[in-house]
Amino acid sequence: MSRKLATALLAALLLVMIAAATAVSAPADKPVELTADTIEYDAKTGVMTAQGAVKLVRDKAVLTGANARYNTKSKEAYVSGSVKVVREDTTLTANEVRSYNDNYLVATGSALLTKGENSLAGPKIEHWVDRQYSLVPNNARLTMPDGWMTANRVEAFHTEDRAVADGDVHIVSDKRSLDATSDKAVYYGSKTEQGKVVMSGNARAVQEGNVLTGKTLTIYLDDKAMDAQGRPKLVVKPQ
Amino acid sequence: MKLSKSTYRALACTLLIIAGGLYYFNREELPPPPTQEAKPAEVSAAVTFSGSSIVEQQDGKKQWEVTAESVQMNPDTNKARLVNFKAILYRADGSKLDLVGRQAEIDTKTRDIDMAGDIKAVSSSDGAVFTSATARWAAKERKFYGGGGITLTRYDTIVTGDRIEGDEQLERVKVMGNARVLKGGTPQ
Repeated sequence: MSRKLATALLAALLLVMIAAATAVSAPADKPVELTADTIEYDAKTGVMTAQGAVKLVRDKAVLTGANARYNTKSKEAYVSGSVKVVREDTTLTANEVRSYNDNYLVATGSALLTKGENSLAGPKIEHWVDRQYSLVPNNARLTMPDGWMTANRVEAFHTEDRAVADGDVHIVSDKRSLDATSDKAVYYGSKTEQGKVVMSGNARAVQEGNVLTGKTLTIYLDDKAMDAQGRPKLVVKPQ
Repeated sequence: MKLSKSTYRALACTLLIIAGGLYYFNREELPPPPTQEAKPAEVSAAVTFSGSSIVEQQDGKKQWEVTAESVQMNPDTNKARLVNFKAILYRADGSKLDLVGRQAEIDTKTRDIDMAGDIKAVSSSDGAVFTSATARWAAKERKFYGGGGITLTRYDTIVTGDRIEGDEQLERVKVMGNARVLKGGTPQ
């Protein structure tokens, strides 16, 4: 057997092995169920269009709305009209939701994502189901158990119960009589560790009339303590 | 169209022969019937055949073919009533749709077929199976309608609902009332 032929046979064998391995590891398509008052279905294109009391169920996610279009081949969905997506303890509501590959969701129009005690709101929310990650690209508002935070942009890492806020960060907690601002903030809501908010860049916190400024401020959620780093300055309001 | 007309002519001839026969055998024994009883409507009463088939052809190609246990033809309305029928709708692509049901009515003018009673249709092209309580084949539109609770199964997709309208392939369908499409998984 010539060397060329042997190489070709080896390459062919490898291709067959790769193809077989891919076939074995390819995830099976989960069933999709669409119910509505009216459904138009094109078996050739795989497109389903539904009107009235629409409910789309796939895996652990349930999408409801007034109208929907779902392509079973491309796995793209568009749902409009008081849309609600429920998956385990996460609920996403919006005027419209687009879904790609049954994983990436883009919610627009008064979008609100609620998970546990926290909720994230904005004109647009992007959510990745597999990563449990959400992004509010503008005018974001994160509501926590004892207050709320607004910022130009917020990223939420749900499995870590962590959120990163960028631009014009504003935190208000009536419970703590706290009003704080900064360029950036990271919220750690984990129950296993001490919950805190680390504010950085022109950080300024006002609590009961006392003003604390510094490069970085750390607000602890379990008590009323605050740490300041980077040339901190505290202006105490006379009692 | 050609065969429909010829079928109609054949049925009309049969009817005349039967009517003539009845008149011949009865005229000797019975007094002359009153004028009212000899109305044309009674003469053209429905005629029943057994094991008949009706075929619609266009340009030498079969459009549909229906066989039934019994066929009742009404020349006044141009409608044929069939009991326990089997129908085949021939498609342009060479495939066909086999239909069975308990009752059907064929309008020989419009060539529309109204069906009722455990309707079941099987598509030869992809094995799609359709069931419903009632169904209608609209010849001019070449559209298929179903009602009274429908089910359409094709590969791993199950479509259910109160009513359906679709093309002759049943590939593009609109389901109305409690519409449901399940793709993948097993039927509930």
